[in-house]
Amino acid sequence: MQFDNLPIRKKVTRVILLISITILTITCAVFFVNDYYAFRQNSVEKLEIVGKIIATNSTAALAFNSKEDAVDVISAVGAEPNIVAVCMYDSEGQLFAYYPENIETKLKLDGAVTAKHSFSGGYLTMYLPVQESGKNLGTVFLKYDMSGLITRAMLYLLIILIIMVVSMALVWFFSRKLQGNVILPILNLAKTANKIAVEADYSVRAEKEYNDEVGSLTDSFNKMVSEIEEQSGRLSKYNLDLKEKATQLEQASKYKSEFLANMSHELRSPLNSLLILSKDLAENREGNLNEEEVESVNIIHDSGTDLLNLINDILDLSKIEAGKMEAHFEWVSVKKVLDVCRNTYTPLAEQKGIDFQISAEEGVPERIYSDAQRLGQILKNLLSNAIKFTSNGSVQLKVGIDEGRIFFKVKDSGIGIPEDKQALIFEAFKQAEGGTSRRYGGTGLGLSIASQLVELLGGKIRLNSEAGKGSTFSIWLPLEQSEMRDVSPIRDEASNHSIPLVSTEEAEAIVAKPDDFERNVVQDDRKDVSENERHVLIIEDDVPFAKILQQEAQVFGFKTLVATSAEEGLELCDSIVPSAIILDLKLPGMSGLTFLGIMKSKPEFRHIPVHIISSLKKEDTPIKAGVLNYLSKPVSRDQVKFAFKLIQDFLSTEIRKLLVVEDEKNIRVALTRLLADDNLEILETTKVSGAVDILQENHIDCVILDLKLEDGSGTQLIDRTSEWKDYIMPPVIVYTGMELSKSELGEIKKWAETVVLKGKGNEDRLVRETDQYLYKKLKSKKNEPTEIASTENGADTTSFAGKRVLIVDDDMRNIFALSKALSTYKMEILRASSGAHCLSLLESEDKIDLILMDIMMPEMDGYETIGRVRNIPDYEHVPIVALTAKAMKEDRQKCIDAGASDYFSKPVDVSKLVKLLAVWLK
Amino acid sequence: MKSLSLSLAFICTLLVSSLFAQVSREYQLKAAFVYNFTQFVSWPQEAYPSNQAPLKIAVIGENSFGKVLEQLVSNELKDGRKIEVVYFPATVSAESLKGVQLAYFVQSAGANPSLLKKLSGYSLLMVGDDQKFLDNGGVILLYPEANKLKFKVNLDKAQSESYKISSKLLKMATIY
Repeated sequence: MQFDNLPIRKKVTRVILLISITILTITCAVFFVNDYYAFRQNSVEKLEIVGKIIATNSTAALAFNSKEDAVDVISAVGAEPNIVAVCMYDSEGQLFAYYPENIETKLKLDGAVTAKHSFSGGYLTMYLPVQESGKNLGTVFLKYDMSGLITRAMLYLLIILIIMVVSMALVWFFSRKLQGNVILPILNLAKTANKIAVEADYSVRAEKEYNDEVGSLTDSFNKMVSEIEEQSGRLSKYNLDLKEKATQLEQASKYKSEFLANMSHELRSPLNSLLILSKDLAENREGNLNEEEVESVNIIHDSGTDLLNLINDILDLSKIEAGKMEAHFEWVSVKKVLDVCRNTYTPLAEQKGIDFQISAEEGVPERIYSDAQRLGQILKNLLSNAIKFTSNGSVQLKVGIDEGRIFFKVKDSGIGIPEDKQALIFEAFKQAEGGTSRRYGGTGLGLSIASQLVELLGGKIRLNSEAGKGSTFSIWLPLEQSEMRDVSPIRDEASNHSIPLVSTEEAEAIVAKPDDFERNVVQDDRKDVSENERHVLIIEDDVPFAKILQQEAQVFGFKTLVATSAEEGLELCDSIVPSAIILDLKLPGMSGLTFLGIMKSKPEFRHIPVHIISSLKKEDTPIKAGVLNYLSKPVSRDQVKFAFKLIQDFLSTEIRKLLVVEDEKNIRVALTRLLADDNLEILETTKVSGAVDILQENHIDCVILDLKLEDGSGTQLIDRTSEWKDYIMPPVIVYTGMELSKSELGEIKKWAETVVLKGKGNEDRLVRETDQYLYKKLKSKKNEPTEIASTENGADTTSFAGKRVLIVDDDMRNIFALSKALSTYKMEILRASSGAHCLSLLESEDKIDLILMDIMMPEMDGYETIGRVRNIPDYEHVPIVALTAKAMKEDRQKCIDAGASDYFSKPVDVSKLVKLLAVWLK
Repeated sequence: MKSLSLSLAFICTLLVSSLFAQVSREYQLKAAFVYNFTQFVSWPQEAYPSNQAPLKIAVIGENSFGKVLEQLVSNELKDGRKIEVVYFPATVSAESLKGVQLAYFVQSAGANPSLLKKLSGYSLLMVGDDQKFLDNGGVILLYPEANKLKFKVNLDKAQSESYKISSKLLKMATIY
């Protein structure tokens, strides 16, 4: 780490250490050098003294030429260990005496010698004259070993090293101490600042320790934090206020949406009668209206239609704004979308004398993943606008590919839009001119809705226009949607599969068949199909795993069909009805959940057992029951084997077992009779404990469960079984007389497939649900709702004659309009203006064949009335068609739950209603 | 320079002495000893008659030195004084030896105890080579030993005189 970025405490320690090292080094070096020279000097002086002693003491020896005495003297002094040699020369320079004995030395000095010394080769050598009374008697030579100097230097270096180490340790220790006083307050301040920055907790204050600069810095810091705290307090208060206001706004918006939904109903009801009657009048069957009157009636009808469109648009817009509009993604055939446009708008264009052309560029894919209904709505808005605002010339719809997106361009040669108005065009309730609406009709909401829908589909919309020269609206849509957008609508579909959406009928018609999906890479038995064999359809995009499944299936004697996508699986089902399906949930394109929803919504596939093997955990999917088994990947070979064993067992068990847990004998008997079937074994019990025993001992395919039992509540049964390891509870249908609150219902829905309320004529539904969960084909199709009605192509009205139909509606205009329309089919129409009126009529009148029931009625509403009607013995199975203006899914479900046989949305399209009635009156 | 010249002189004396064959090798050496004694003994001022008075060496008895001693000391100084050699017969009186600092008693000349006794208190360093010289009251005896010339000092006697014999000299001497 660079020094500059080091923590301050390390910096300080290092600086102190550096300074200390420098000072110590210099000091030690000075001392060392000083000592070195001092030692040398000392040695010289010492040797000189020795030499002088020798010189002085040997004068007599020299004078008297006594070598023994000389040797005596020098050996006495020369015994000093460091003195290597002592030699004495006489006045003539001849070697006179020496010590020790075994040395080699000069025998004769070169000339006269004065006192001198020198260092060489680790030795100090010295010459000293021997004098007595000023007379030179000879010379003393000394050789001194200086190795002591090196030893001393070494010792010194060692000492220096020890001093350094000890000093460093002490410096380090003291700098630590110092930190307590100087650095710690800084560090604490930094720590506090960091804590505040990270945790955004402005209530923290730094602690002041001393009254130095750091202390004042701490004070300033605390002051700043206090200010921030105060400000953030104010801010959060503002935020709270804002949130409150936002909630209020949201509330207001919700009220607005509710108001609009209600108003749209209130507006539709009168419009309903207006439209029916005016249409009827305009037909002028009696021939008693003159041309002008017919014209007027037509205008009334057209205006009514406009008004209805306006209301629909407003409803759409309020749904979008309330965020309730959901996209329903699926594979959409581009060709079919274009066909619908062509069929719808070619006649309109012809009527106005405009040229209308549709062209597709090369490279446009056959299918895109989008919402057919919404796409149709967008194009409808754009095209009808284009045709509306073009009085002569042409309207073109062009489809092409641009940067990986599909585009639709609607080009007209109409009045165009001035540049300053272009920005406003997509905003709700704004049109180019205030008068436009009056001149051309329309609500001005179409473009706003279109642009919002484009956004919903993940695309964008652009306008190119010049006033007077026409306009071009272009939309770009993604070819495929990301996985995330896909999830919620599919889940929605899977849980509501029993209720087909009338509004998506059209869309379903143009959903692409995956003919072009040739993705099969696993060899299977699709070419080798015979009636008597069992086929397992394996839908799995992981080819190696699909092959493993295939092998195991073959071991169990199944023929296999392998599809690597749900689309391919659907296609295969159309040609070969498989005996069982192994399904993966995460698939390319259509998800496994969607596939499951489709299978369960089709009567011919509903009974096929589906075994799920998916990497998703069961808890993360909306699947509760209704599948044979659920395995989470990764799975072992044994688990795969077990899966096929399960399928085999299931298929070989011809007789399905149904457990009825019900304490009331009458109902048990009724149910047994209602559900009696050769292939069905019905086991009965009145107690939770009994049910537990039966479930332990038998493989039960479906349970009908009452909530109130002799020894407790039905939920206890679920609690008990959920403790069993590896036990998969069969589908449970709750059949109860208890009025359930919304929260109770929510709790029950967590484990129950469906809840059927007793005593509201719901037995048919109970049978239907039971059949579904027993994987049997429906015994009778007589109670199928609109799905069948809507697929009828032409209405067989021959059976209408003489049929007694009761219309219940509080709005007399509606009754009048409907009865007038229906009376043309020679039906006998009875009218009731309220629920109570309806009930009393049923009491007094003879058998009625069908009831049309308005839901929104004062006092007793439609739901309640239907429930009560179902309680009348003769009317348990009479078809009741609910009429509801609220075309919401929940409303439809509520109608069916209340006991209605079918539902129909207002305002009533008579021709569609006739088709529906044809089904129910057969 | 001075020491050089001195040593040269010393060498010269040795050469000269070898040239004078009539002086025995023994006395040539003894002459050198005598000279050296003057160098290692210091006399007080009172031992001299005056400040300029030379240091006098008296040879008593037969002159075995010949001219050797004279030549040896001729150019030498002792404490700034010239050195003079004087000769006396063995019968010399004590009186005549006043003002003499060193007396060499040649052979039997030193065997006269009465003279030697008389001379005590004279600040006279008495040197001799008679065997009984120290017994008779002499101070330094020169004697041969193992082919070498040695000397013995009567320390009691020496200490009773005013001159001081250098310890260096004493160190070389045998103490009586």
